[in-house]
Amino acid sequence: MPRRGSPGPDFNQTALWRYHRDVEDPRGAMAPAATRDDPVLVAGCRAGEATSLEQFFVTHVHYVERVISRLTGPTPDLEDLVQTTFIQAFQSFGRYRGEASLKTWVTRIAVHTALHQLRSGVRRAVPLELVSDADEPSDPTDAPDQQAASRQLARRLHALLDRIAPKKRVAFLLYTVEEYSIEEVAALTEASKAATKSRIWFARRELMAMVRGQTDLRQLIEASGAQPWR
Amino acid sequence: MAMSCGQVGRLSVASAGGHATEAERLELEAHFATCARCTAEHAIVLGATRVLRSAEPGALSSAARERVRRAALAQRGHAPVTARRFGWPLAGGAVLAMAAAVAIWIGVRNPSVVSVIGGDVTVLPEFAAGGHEPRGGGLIVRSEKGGEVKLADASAALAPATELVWRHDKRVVELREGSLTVDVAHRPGQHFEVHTRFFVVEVVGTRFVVDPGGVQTERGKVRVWSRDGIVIGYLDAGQSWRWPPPRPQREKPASEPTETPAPPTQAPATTAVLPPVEDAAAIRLARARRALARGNAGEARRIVRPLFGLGRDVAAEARAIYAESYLSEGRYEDAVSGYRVVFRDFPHTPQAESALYAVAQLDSEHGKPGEARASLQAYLARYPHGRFAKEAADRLARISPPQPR
Repeated sequence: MPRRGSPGPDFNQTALWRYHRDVEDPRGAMAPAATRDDPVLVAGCRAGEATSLEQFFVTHVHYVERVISRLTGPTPDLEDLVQTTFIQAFQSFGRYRGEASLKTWVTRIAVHTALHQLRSGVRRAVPLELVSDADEPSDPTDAPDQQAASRQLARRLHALLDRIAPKKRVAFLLYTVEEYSIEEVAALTEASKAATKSRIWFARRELMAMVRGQTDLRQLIEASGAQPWR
Repeated sequence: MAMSCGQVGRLSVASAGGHATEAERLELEAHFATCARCTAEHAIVLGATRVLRSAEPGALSSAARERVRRAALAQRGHAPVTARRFGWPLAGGAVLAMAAAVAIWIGVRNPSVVSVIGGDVTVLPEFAAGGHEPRGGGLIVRSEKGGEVKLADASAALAPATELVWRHDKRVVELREGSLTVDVAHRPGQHFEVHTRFFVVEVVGTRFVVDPGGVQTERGKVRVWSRDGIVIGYLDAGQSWRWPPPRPQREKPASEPTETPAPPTQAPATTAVLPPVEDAAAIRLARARRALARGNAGEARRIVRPLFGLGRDVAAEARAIYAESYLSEGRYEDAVSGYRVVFRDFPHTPQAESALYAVAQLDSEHGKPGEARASLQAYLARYPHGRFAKEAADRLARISPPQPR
């Protein structure tokens, strides 16, 4: 078998490198650790070094907040859920094999945390003040009343989603709202592709039935700018 | 063939998530033109998705984030405390497992040590970059003139100028440079892996040769997967595979859209026996569709350009997305040019049918009845029972000049 030389200093100019960069560069969430994550950071996290774990936290905390919030809806438990996710991640770094990127790995933990929360059925009421606890300003181009109406509509939709089984709900939201592919949703929820498709389909059907029964909600959704096409 | 409402329902969800192909969206549109119920349901799915997507996701305040950071870091070294309902049986099992581990440890001669069987081989502990502390328990094995070593229960013959890292705890070889021939004894439940820069070879019991560019199985069977965990395929005895695979040559199109894509990179000549890039290309196509669904046409074009030189199905879909990206920007001439490339270069794909109908539709809607008529007639001649045959015939009837009596 012919032997290939080691990648020299001009490896970045080779066709192989360009091929790898252009074709074999999947979406960030599923990127291989070798091309995305700093190996020193990964090694530091595995060794439990505080600086590495802190860097890992800073890098991923916003994304984890977003995923959990999208899956569970507005909840005063967001802080607890994010904390649980990172505690589990920090304690499980010894089992991280580096096959998926750190982002994928922590997303999987976040999805499981959200699923656990949804399954537990403990849904505390959301005080109005807690809907947006962030200190970052929201999009200034949106009028406050529009933002409030949008939040209210999203909250009503999440209230309907609460009546759908957690597995179906999570698969549906990851597929439609977070735009993960079927394969990615299946990997994140540790389910088969067939089961994932089935969950998404049944979630859609149940959501449709509930929305149809609420004329005012249906009109609000239609008025929110949804066009029948695209 | 017309789609059923059930099929449309499934496609509707895919479309809302930005996963539907251009051909599927055209089919949806054709169905919506005749089914008010599906149109209304699609509006609800799309609207609900948009509302949920546009709603600002919850975010923690800086103070809350700081509390989380401190709490998580404070517990980093502690094992998770969980309530054990069956504490005693588990403890008994743990004792038995430990006894078994000790027995195995006694039975196996210090697996962390690399035994040099012969040749010019140097073994060094792996150090962190610039540091003096051993890192990850790995051992660097180098051979300038070739040699043979024992890695746990596997023997490896190193070609000259080979360097690898042996991680005994995971039974993983990280091949940095050169080539090695591995002979692994079968041991149930224990896998052996060789990681290269681009792919991973996993084996239970076999003999194979691997270098950074490919693998050749001499005995048994190995599984090859990409570094991001996508299974590329299996290699039986006598089979070989090289990274990256050869690309089919494509005829140069006569006319291109105004934004000329970068030429596809040429891979070195190889002897591939597996189709290893399909999964990665599918992921890339899905990304492009999502970018398009978000209205980011330029991003979609950037994502699909490298796929133009791949296999027929991938390249056809990439070209279709490329054309659709122009359509979404209102650049009709470029979109028409892009669609023409699709049905000229990939005439036997589903995308060709959609592209031909899309060209006719665009010509018809932009004041080119002559061209539209010709395209519609070409469509009906080529696909008399096609997916858009009824729509094409209706449209043709509308734009055809009245027949003289």
